[in-house]
Amino acid sequence: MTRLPFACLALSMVLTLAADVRAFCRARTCEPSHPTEDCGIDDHGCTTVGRLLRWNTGCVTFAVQKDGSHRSGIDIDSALDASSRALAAWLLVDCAGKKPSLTGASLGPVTCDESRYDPNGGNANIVIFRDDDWPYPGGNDLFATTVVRFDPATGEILDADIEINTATFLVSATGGNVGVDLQSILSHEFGHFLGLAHSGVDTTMQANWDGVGTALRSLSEDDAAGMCDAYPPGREARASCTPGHGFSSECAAARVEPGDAGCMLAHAPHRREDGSAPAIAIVLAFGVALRRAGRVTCGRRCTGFERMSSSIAECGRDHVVGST
Amino acid sequence: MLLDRRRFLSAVGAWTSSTLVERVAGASLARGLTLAELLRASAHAVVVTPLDARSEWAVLGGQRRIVTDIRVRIEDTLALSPPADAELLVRVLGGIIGTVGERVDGQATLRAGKPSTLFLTPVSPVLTYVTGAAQGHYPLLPDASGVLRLRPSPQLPSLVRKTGIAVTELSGRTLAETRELLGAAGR
Repeated sequence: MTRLPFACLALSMVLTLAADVRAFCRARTCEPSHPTEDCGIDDHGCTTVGRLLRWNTGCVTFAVQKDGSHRSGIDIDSALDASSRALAAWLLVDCAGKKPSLTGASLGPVTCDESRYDPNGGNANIVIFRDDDWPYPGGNDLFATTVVRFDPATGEILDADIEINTATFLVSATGGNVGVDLQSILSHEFGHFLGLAHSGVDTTMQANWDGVGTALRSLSEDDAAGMCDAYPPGREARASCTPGHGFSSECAAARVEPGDAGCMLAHAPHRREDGSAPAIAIVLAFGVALRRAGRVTCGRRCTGFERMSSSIAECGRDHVVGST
Repeated sequence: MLLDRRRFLSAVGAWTSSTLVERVAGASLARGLTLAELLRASAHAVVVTPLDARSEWAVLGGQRRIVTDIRVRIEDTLALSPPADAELLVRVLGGIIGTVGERVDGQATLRAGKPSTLFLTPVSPVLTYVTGAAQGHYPLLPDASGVLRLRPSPQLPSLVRKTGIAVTELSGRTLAETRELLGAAGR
């Protein structure tokens, strides 16, 4: 009789562990950072709402910003080598005796040093080292970050860039005792690049890692299961290896784009949020950007939210803008 | 062979705690911040209620990025200086505008109308970022007796250094306990 509660508890543990066998999470189009979006959360912490993100091509490319990291002593060849190895680990996982339906290629060094996506021009999926400044306030303790750009209607990944925080951390391309292992960081970030989110168990995507050594280079079975789920063998996919709208080594020029709200907003690409003056501005408007002699006017009165953000967007009054 | 009761419960306890610790970690790689580090990097430690939000293009480090600005009402100040205004904007990376979405893992995930404790890094009088990305975000959820307790953010970065960090120190605390801990850590 007294063994019954133990038996029930043991059974529940076994069932929970069994559920953990497949604990990877895939990223979805539902954006959890927006407070009105309910993206759902399952037992593993995976979001459950929205389309799954993945590359719809059969081949994905990456490039590395040509400067590497002077601060960490990583040259372009070492950076390309570490990136290739990190991506290859994902592309070569075993899917029940077959390989995932995604191959990869390096496009070598590029001059562009910005994470961006041009919907009308050439692009590149870039690994960038941030030696001088980590541009994300409050985020200095991030080793790296990956931004994945996707089509919200389909979940197709359009572009992905990885930024390495060499402004805060010393990073090593050799996996030695000095500095954090670059390939380990990249192994985790390429998981995001491929459309995976964190996992519920100890994996490369759920690092139980103290920042020392090269353990994250080796993917776990759960990492592999996530990769095989996203890119199963035999999947029909476009054969193209070219980034969206063609490859470009250069950053695209700033352009005028329609905004998402009725109130005219202005953003300064080179304005720092510490209040330093803008060099040029990009004008975001409702549907059509108005450009007349470098000045624009808010098309209507701003809402409470827009007034709240007026010190950022300068909504509701004229803006002096430069070249767009 | 059957385990005796003490060993069995001990094993269950160890398994449960390891499972909980694993659930705490998350996506992008980050150094785990201690409570003192979290406080030092922040200007405000507040309880907020998100009101509304909008995603827009912004420029960060010379790069055009989609951000989501969340308007929050300040309910209480737990430590550090109180914000000058009753409302603030909290900016998180990522969002969807038109036909392009940007996803950045490890960001705070505030829910409209649901209170949270936030550690904030201001960049202007009205615009702030969450310190340490989701490491500075603690949703407040009621326990079985209805007392609000801090919980780890659902989208925490994967933390390199897991012991002695703010996430484990603060998770499960009431607001009164949190106020006391922050006071002690700030001294």
